[in-house]
Amino acid sequence: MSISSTSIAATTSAKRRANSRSAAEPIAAPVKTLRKRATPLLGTVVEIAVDTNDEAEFVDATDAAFTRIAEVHRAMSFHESSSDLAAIAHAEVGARLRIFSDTWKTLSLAIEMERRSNGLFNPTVAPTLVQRGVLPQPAAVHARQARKTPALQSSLAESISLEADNHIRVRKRVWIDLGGIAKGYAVDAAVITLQAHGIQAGVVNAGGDLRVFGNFEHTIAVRMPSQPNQVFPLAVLKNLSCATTAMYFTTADTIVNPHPDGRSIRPQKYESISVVAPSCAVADALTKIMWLQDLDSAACRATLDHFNAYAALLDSAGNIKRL
Amino acid sequence: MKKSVLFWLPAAAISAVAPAYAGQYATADEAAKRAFPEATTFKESVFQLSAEQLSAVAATTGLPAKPALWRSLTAMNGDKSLGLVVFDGVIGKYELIDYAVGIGVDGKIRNVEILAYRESHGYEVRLPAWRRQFVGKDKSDKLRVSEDIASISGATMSATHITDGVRRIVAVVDQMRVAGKL
Repeated sequence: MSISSTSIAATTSAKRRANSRSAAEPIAAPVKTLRKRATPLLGTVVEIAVDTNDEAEFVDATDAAFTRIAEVHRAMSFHESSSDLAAIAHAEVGARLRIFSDTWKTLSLAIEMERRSNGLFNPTVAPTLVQRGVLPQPAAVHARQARKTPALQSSLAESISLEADNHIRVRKRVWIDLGGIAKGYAVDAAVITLQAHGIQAGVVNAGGDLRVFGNFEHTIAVRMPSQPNQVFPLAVLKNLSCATTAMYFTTADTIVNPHPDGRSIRPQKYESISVVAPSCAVADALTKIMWLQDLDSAACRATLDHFNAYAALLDSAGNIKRL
Repeated sequence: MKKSVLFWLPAAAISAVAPAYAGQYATADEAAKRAFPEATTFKESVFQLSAEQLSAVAATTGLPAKPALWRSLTAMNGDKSLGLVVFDGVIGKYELIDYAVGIGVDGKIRNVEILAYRESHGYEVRLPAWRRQFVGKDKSDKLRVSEDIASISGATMSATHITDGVRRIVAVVDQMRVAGKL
């Protein structure tokens, strides 16, 4: 039996794939005892585990990271009336808006993802999600000047254009839901904050969108969506992120596909798709694209390769297929 | 340049019943100190709402009343009360979650700290066959798959019930304040 291993350079496009390594060969990495802290944020429980023995440093760094996540959430929540996304939903066509740089960067990545996936990644599906009851009406729309819902089908690149100095121009009326990509961005931002506070190594996990940083290797597992009490070890990561998407049960008898691309909803035969990538925002966006894509296609392979990313698919029998 | 490592674990070959998956984050004392770093002492107290207060809490929060005995720590700086930390537990999607809410004398939330969670019903980690060969042989490899599975990717905890619980605690503390019990 062999474990395939892959080393990837996060900051270059160099790829070294699937070098085989025997199971008997020890995995050389220090095992760290991480100090953990968790709090409810981003609609889930965000867990931060860091390598430090100093309680004061631990509390300062994690306080700052949680604050940073809350800041990103406020800027990019579809539900909060004071968010940038609410401002965009409200804006007149032609309006030029100044937004938080976090939102600007995430929109920029979202546009790139939309383009690279030929529109499979589409953050303008919020009206469809609202119509289906997956998302509530945006708070802004409850207000006095309730407006007509934007067209159900749109594209981000046609709806807004990015301008210099954290400005955007609204080209079409649009409701944007950055959902998971914003959550991934928040995880990335939290890691930067922890590092700025002197933390060398750790893990930030926002309800399954996670990033492992520093000089240690961390084992991650995936939950079987249809049998939540079953968990499958998936991979060992170092300086990488992982995001998982699935058809999750929202209530006992309702299954909601969280990514209804208006053009083609083709449920995968897999229970969940996990993507490993250098950044958590990219990992999350790629899970959405994989969910809607023909997984055997060259386009799928090219998308993963472009982002130095890898995917793993979990089926209902507990088999994991790697891409 | 930082080095990234990825290696996939082989697909589950056997299943093994592992102890309930649990996360331990903070003790009650740690949570209290993080909420009120300026406190010099913490006083333990337990309080309970009257039937009228319970209905008032249910009315403000829109949540069912919880006729609990609330456990708390009052943060003191000398003789001055800074606020209190209330402890509670809720059932999440698949887990029991213990948490603490720090509330200042101004009624504002200082922090919400998860103390611990554990799976609410049996929890099975499907371990690959190679896991067995490491048990008892190499401490680091053993750690890798048992204790070290600290992170689960995919929908894990839902914060809805915690958010409701926090809302209820804020209302409960408000009732106590109105009654002059704090």
